[in-house]
Amino acid sequence: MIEVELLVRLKIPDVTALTAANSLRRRMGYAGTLQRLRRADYYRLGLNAATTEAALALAKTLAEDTNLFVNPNKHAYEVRLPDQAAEASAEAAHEVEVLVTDPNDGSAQGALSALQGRLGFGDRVASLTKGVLWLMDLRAPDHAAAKQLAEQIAVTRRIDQGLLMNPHFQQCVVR
Amino acid sequence: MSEDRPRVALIQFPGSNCEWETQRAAEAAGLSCDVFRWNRDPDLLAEYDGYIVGGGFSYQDRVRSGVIATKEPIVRRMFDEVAGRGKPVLGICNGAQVLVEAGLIPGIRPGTVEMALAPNRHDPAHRIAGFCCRWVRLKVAAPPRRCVFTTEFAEGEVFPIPIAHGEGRFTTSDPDVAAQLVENRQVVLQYCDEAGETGDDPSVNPNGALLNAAGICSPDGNVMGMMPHPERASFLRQVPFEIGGPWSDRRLAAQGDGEALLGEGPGRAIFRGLLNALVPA
Repeated sequence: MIEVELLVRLKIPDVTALTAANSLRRRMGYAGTLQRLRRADYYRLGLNAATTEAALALAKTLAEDTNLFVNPNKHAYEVRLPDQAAEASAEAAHEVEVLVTDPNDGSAQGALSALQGRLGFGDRVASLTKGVLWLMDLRAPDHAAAKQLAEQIAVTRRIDQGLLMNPHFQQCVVR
Repeated sequence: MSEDRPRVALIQFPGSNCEWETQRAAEAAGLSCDVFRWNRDPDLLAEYDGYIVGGGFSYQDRVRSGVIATKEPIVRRMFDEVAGRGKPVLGICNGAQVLVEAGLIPGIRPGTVEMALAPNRHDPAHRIAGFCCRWVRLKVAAPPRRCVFTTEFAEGEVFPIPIAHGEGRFTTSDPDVAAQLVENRQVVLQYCDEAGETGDDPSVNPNGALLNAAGICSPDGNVMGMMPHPERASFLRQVPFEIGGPWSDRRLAAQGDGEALLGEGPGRAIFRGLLNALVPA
């Protein structure tokens, strides 16, 4: 099985990301460090394909032909391999990705059932998980420091600390 | 409205949508209630005796229900009045989500986020997922004086009330917090059946909340976050016929009697509890 990531973004400005960035900068003191904040719906597909290229092609088909993930009127999408480098970051900033997932979110299971069943992909699609991917451009001395900062921004521990996930029901991976 | 009535501020955020009916319910209970916009001078909150954070979708539930609101200066100011000076605050639905994300509920270590109001349980086998909107039954699960907002009830009393939420499942990843909720009797309202029995069946516990929690108070009892809507059960006319039980019977008996229909509904007692706390004995 080959795992492929599908990232789905709004073509128009994402008000959720803008609101989060506004809170982080104006209310939580990250004006000097958070240069840019973007967000994408994140899907991790486990695909049975002979090669990486075939898996990426299948992921594109799933994105474009199923209407489950992408509405072309409002979404742009990207498929990539999990270890693929993030896109180029802004000058003097480190790009960090924070993936937030809810282990009890069963909606991906419904989409997987549809793919395997009525949409006819059968066992070519073996698994599906979903989450929200936050992409931050952070000013920090190095990437390790940027990751630490991203974790601090993400995990809500106190009224004045963290915003993007609540650790009592969500998980996050910083990379 | 009489000026000598206790004054409460009902915080209105962009996306709040229950402020006017909550104001009406609070006033029907005898309180003076001002709708207080989030962008007013937060220091003006000090003039109020208590607070209500009502239902709706503050900031469109962006990022996570209630969390953007907690970063606003008005919530920080309210936090100081509540945690520092012991003023009462009632969070209803989205208001409860705000209080949880602000670390006021359960408030064992005020300011620390000790719980979440997570998405309702997902149970494909029973075709249960997402937003849940219906009448349920609650049991008063602690001595009435445990919490400011339950003083008008009897322990064990069961009453009907509506819920309408997609993220109402009280949960915590910290076993110590869960243990303290029980030890401190902070779960003051529990989802139950007609007989007052709790259980995890979706017909009883609609969102899968930990300990069947529908309402949790702070250790001092001056803060309560509840997912059901007492303002939608404040007048008898709001009680539906079909739920059965004594409140439904009263509603049926009041049919055709306009004055009786404006009488008290099962949720009014929550607001009267707030009034009791603010009126010197």
